[in-house]
Amino acid sequence: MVLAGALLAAACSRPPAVPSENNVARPAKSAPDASLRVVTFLPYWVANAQFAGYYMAKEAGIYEKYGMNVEIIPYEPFYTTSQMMKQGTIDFAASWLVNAIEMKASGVDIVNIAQFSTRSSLMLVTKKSSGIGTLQDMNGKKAGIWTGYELQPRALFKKFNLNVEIVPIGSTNNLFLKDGVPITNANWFDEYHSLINSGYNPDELNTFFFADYGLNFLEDGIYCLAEKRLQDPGLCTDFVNATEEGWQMAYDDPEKAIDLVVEYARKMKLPVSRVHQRWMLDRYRDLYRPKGKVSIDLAEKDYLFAASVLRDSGQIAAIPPFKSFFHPVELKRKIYPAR
Amino acid sequence: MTFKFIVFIFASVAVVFALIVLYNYSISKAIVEKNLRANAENLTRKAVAQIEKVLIGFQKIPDNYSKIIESTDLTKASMLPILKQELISNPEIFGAALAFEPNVFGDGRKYYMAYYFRNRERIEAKILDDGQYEYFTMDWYQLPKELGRPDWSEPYFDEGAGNVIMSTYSVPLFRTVDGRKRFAGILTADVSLDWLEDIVGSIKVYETGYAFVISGNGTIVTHPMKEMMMNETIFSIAEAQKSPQLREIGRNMIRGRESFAELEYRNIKTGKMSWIAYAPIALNGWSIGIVFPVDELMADVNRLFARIGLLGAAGLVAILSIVILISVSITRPLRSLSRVSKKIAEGDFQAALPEIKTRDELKELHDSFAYMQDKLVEYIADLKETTSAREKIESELRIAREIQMGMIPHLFPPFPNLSELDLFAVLRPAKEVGGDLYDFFLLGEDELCFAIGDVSGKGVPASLFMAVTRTLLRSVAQQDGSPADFVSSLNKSLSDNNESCMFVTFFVGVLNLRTGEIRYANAGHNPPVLIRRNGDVDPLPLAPAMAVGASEEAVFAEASIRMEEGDKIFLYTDGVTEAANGAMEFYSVERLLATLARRSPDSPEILIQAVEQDLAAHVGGSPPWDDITMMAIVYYGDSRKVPPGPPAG
Repeated sequence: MVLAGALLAAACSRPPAVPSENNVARPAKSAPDASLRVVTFLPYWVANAQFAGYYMAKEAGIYEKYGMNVEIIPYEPFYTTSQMMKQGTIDFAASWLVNAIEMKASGVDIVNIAQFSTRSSLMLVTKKSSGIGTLQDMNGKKAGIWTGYELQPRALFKKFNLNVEIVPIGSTNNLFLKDGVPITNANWFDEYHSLINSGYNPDELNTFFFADYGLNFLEDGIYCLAEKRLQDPGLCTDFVNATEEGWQMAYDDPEKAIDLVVEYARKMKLPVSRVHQRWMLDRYRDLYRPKGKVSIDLAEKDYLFAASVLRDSGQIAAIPPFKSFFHPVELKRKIYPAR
Repeated sequence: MTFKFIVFIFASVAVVFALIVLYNYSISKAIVEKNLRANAENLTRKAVAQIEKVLIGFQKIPDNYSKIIESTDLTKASMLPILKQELISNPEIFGAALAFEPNVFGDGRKYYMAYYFRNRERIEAKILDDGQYEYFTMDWYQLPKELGRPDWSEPYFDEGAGNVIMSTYSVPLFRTVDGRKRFAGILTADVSLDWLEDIVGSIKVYETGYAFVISGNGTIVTHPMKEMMMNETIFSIAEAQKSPQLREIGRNMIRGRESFAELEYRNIKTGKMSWIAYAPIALNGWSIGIVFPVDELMADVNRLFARIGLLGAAGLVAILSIVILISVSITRPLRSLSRVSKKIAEGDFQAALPEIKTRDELKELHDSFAYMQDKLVEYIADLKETTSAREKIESELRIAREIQMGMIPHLFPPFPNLSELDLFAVLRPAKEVGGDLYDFFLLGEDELCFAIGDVSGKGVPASLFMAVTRTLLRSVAQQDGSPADFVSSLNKSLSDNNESCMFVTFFVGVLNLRTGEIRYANAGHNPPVLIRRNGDVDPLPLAPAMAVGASEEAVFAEASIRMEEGDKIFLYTDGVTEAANGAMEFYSVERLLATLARRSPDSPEILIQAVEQDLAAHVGGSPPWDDITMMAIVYYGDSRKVPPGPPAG
């Protein structure tokens, strides 16, 4: 149903509105215009500042401005992006590069229409008190790694010849905090700050960024079915551009962005802490807008690196050709003036 | 001076007061803190005991049931009823679960979990074994498994339980396989933390104090600010409030430390400075904190402090008033005295001194002033008397001068009808009255008697003697006789009653108008100067003689000279020749003669003026020491004869 609607919209699509500057006032909450193209978007985690740009783009009416009525599906842990993409339940999804490559290799014909992330946020953390100060010290130890996220740590341990037992953990770091494991993984923009706000000072922790060890697994990108990219390029372009504008607005007005995140989180009955979300938004800005530059480019070498790790670890059989994977739209804003 | 004095005293007293009050305050605060610490410890330990009692109560249930289950053969048939029973028998348990390791039942299944829970009045069951619920990495399963011991979970919200904060107590289950203990699965009990909220919420600390609980990760479990609960950790709050103190407190709390009202910080509920007491809840690694607002605890002390402050201020005001009063009581009479002094200085000697009633230094000062005032009045009265006496004498002296000047002939020209001679004379007494004299008068038609004299001394005594001399001269000259006779008579009379031993140098001459002959007698006087018509200037030759009045037996000689027509004779007293300038140089006879020679052709009046001028030039500004007398006579010859030439003049 959604696909048909999208096709219909494409047939009588209007050219995207000229993006204005950042003074889009938040429109009154009226019923969305029926002439807007209905779009569904699936984030890959619960309401967080990780998705502030999308929330902002929706609530500030940017999607609307671009002629779309976007529904942001509240993520539940049992959702699988590949299922929903295959079924056409969703138009666009955000995903990390490795997960998307896996999806592609498993037969879901998705394409990357915009690569937002340029640097991996993944890290390993140890307590100084555990004595694990270098990668070598990890040899023979246990590492708590979230299920589904073993790829990167395995690659790291393999690269440096480390014999580390990977203990799958859920979404918290409590096993690490309670000294069940001496090593744990974390996102710089999320769990690392939670560790700090569980009572550890930065000088009490050792950090190991994957990107610093030559394992720059890129993260957020926007994906849709190749078919859609082909048949409705206008929608894809609009979605990406509107999303970028939403992100810029979020970076420019972080407190307002956090307000939205808190609202969404409360709606989903999730615990939410403003200072944590603020940290997350600030780190996203550091990771995704280094030097304030906007880019949606995916370098082939980064793609090949991630894909080769997947292949070498046996998670995919063959590397899907880059050309079949990366089909970026045109970004109206190439370079954003430095603030 | 007063102002400085007042300010200094006031400031000193104020400082002393302030120090005392501050000391009192700090001691009081220390006392309050000491008491507080004891109370805080009691309160905290009591709360911990209460909480742990409840927790133990909860723990016992799964602990016991785990034993029961372990003792079974671990089949579904045997375990599930036990699980259900756990729930039935224990209404405070909301839900209970059994979750197992893969293939525990030997049926190759990876997952098996049974969950019983309350749904309104009923107990419902859920079996999760199809992999949709991956529980192996859930904290409630993994932590007790990895840690090898029972574990209380981090608090969480459970929608199904009606949005209540819950915590799950998980107990690891073991079974013996091949003689070794093997981990088999987990037994859980979900309990609501309502009771925790009740216990903690009921801890009353004065008006605005409160208690709160944080989990082992610092998550706010219960707190009077409900929005904090579950959303924030104590560290995220510390971050939001930029309070490193709060972060430190949090770190101490999660590390299981205890402290009783030793730390002050700004509490997050009211932002007021508060003491905090905290202690660990060892059973689940959580911690309780109790907040004691400083201002409430210190309320009594602060009130006392305020009261003392007010009293102190009132005291200061009183002291200030007294100091002002005292200093004014000193300075007012001083200022009064000063004013009266000015009045006295300006001439109001009767000005009334201010009354001083006290018997102190001020009274002494007053008495000195009064004494001074009386003495001043006396002195001035004396002075007035003396002055008026002196004025009287001066005025009498002036009258005496007039009389004296009236005695000597002072009309010039004296004989306008006589063409035989011209005469001029001046007498300048050094004081009001003097001892010099000159006189001239006609004897019959043909003779002019002239005299000059100088009484010893000056002033009133000399003038009286001079008056006597002059009177006597006039009287003896009326009798027949020569100038020598005259002088002798004078001498006898003056020597007679001369108790004061005064004398007068004297020169008397008689000029015959027909012949121009002058018969003269001298008694110790300066020789007159004869100025001939041709300009020769010579002192008359005089025999040495005593002054008149000195000795009764003195004898006086007589001599004579002849004046030609146009000749002049100049008489003077030694006040002329002995007139001294500032350098004590006398005018001298030589200079007199020189002047006379220079002005020889002049008339007597002009001549005498010239000598006076020259004398004045010599003396400069020095006051005259002696009386100055000069007389000049010019003889024109017998008028009955025709004069040869015009008279000089």
